[in-house]
Amino acid sequence: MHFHKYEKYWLTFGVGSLIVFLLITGIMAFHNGSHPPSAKNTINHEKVEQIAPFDKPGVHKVSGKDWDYEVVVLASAFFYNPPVLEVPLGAKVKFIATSKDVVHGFEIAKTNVNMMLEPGYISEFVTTVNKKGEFLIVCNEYCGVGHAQMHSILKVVEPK
Amino acid sequence: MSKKQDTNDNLKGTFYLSMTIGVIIVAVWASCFAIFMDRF
Repeated sequence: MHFHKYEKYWLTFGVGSLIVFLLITGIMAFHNGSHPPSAKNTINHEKVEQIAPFDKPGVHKVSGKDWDYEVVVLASAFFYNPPVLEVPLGAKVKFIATSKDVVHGFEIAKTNVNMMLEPGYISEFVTTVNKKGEFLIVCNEYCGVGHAQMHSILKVVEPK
Repeated sequence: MSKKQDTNDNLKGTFYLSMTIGVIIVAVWASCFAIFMDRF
């Protein structure tokens, strides 16, 4: 098969770019541990408030795990419990969240934390909070008439 | 010879356009990746 020299140039460029993209994606996933939120664990959404860890929503310091804090959030129409979250700067945090009624979103604006919360499924995401400030948490899945008012705040503060 | 030369000339524009689109795609991808890396 004959290829024109210009075809060889752009084919090389195209295939090379694809290889670079896939390599970066692979390194990020398998070496740096960057994964999308998981929702593989299930829970009885009708009794979710009686089942750990959702019986005590909030920020909990943990030890002996790969992360320093667990942030447990229970979403329902049209608010998050707890309404305000506060974590220390530099902490590795695992967000654990679910919904007790309909599908909600859990997006921390201007961060990579963005989960869909489905009743009956536990959504989890691990990240290191390395920027100080207040971050708006919004529901980005339409959940009803109060959807637009459904928000919360994540405060990243200096460690005490 | 002159016919071959014409064929090369015709592909030059296609080549530049393909490479321009490729560079734009790479630049957009790199920008998105930079935003992803900058955020926690």
